[in-house]
Amino acid sequence: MECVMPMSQTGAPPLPPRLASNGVVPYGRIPPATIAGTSSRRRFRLRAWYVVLVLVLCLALVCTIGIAGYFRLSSPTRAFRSSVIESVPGRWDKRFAVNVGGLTLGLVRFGSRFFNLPPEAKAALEVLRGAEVGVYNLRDAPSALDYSAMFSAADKCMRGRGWERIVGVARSRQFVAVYMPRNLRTVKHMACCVAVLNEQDLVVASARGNLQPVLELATQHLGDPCELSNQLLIHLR
Amino acid sequence: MIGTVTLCAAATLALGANETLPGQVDFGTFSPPKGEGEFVEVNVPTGLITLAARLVEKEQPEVAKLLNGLKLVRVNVIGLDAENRAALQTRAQKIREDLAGKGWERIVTAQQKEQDVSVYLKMADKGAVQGLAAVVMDGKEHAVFVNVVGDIKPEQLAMLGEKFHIDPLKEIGNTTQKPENKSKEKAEE
Repeated sequence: MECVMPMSQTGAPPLPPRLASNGVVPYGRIPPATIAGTSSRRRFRLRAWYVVLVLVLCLALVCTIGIAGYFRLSSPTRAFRSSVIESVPGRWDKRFAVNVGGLTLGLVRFGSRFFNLPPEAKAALEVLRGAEVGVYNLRDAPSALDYSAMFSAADKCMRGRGWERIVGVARSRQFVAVYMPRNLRTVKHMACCVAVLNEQDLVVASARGNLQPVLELATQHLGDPCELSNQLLIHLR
Repeated sequence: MIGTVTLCAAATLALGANETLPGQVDFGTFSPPKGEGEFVEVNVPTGLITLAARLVEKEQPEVAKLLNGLKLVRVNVIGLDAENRAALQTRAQKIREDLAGKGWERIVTAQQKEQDVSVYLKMADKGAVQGLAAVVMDGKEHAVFVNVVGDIKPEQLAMLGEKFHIDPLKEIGNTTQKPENKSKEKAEE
């Protein structure tokens, strides 16, 4: 027969009760060790509650930040937008901004595995790693826009971040600037930043993606890239 | 030691970034006209050209071959107005002189009505084409500056313009097509 020593919750053996000087516990009194044990258990329960409370608060905070993140542009896109907006005199109103990150798109991609989607739609989902769009409205617009200042400000902002302008168009109250990373070496890490000002509406968009699935699809099925983009657009709509 | 290596690497990268490719022309920067004039600037880097080549390599191997030989495509279209016309005409003239001075061969000269088209080719010693430059003063409306770095022939400009949806390239390509080719096309039609 084994003699097992009782263990406390922490795994350490319980301390022997402190006795009176003669070693006898006076009748009608709770031994001090029992009182100490009860209070420490209460303290432990309190601490556990604190931990749970802190965890719940953290989760709520993370959820709030996550949800707010859907309506907030990323730092580079915000800088790009600011560079354009600040070079145009007038008052800008934000209409909306949406930012869908890699985590959300990853979940969508994972969910799409359980549905029978056409290959083009799957490729479109595979392509995107993150996308964000902001739409702004210009009030009290000046009669003539200084496109040169707009390009200079946007170029300066983006060049500092390693992007270069690949397209710039300015004509009769329309402005388009498209930027891509300077060291574009692989189709797996494509990124693009676009600003389009049409009359008084400014759209700033940014997207990151992996074009490998599109290229594979293109080489397998479709010959004409225009046809491919049309097919993708149809499915995205 | 590490700092010195880092500095050397940074300096090399900086030099590399500013270095121009053979066949590349520095047109300088252009500013959009202040009025309602048109301004288009397209700068297609090597990465995008490679991507485009991969997209078409199976169905259109000829186009893919052309694209694979290119390193940079730059197109500037600037609308002319009373403020910038004289400056741009002077600049176009200076670019033409610079190109001629740097060994570029003027292969096309087309002057009709108010249009003035000049196309130059830069050849390597072995006869390979290193780049193409075009300067167009389109009457009183536009000034067009084109630089394609890489192995390209003038008659391929239209195809390149079509692939990248750059209309000025298509127009210059059509202008530079040989008269006999045009007559052949008409006969086929």
